Amino acid sequence: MEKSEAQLIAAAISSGDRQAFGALVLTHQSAVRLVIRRWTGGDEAWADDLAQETFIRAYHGIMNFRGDSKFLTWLCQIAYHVFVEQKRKLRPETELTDESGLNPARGLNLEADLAQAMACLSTMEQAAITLCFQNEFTHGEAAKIMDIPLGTLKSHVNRAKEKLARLLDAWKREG
Amino acid sequence: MAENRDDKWIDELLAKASARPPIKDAGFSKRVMARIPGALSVRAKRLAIQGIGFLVGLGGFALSSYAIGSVTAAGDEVNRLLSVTANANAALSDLSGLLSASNPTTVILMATLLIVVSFVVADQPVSKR
Repeated sequence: MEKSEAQLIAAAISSGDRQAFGALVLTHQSAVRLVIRRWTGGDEAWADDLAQETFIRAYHGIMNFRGDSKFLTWLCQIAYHVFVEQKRKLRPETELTDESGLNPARGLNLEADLAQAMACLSTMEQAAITLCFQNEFTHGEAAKIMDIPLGTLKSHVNRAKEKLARLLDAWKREG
Repeated sequence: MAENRDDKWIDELLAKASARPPIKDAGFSKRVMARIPGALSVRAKRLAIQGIGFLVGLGGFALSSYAIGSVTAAGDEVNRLLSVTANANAALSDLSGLLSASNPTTVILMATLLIVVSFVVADQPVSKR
């Protein structure tokens, strides 16, 4: 009989059951990797490295999971910390301010245009907008993942939307 | 109102761009689990560390016993040290005398109990200690 997520978490917490944790990894790997891939601007290899680090940290810190949020939210919280930590170490903040260099009005590939526009946002703005709009987390969950107050998250989302609207203006006219 | 209408197209655009199929990759979880040490290797590592600790302790004890005989310099500090170590040695010989007088089964049982207790304590996560 297949165990429920709660039973798997309980087994992993109480006895460090590797098999139970392996089942949890299998269940959540796709969601966690997709979230991180958006943060890394589609760099799949880097995103997968961060995802592996996330799950390893989750295994070692699983006794800190109190169940006051969804397990996926908790995993994304670790993923966000891993991402910010690694980004600071490897790729310092390089927010593009010269928007004139962008040509997001090609109108052919939304994914590519969006990725280019996303690169103009700060790490916080990128993370906030992807969590709320592309990964369907609620504002509350996104704020918890990023460990910031709800009001701050909403400010980041609004600022990101304003910038994206300006950068992707051609898509408005097409739509 | 106009602002809301302006916002709506970007919301829809983001929603449209978010549609991505889930990643089906069972190999990923295997790669993750391969980086997490198994219970057996954790225990083996712990046993090795405890074994080294035991040998170092034993070596220290042997060295101190040897040193008692070799210290010849006079002086208050040395005399005090000698009396402390002599007392410790007397206590230890009392203990060994007590152990040799006891039933071997009891001694083995006590040793087993001590080992089990030390391993159980060592197995506890740091936060629970």
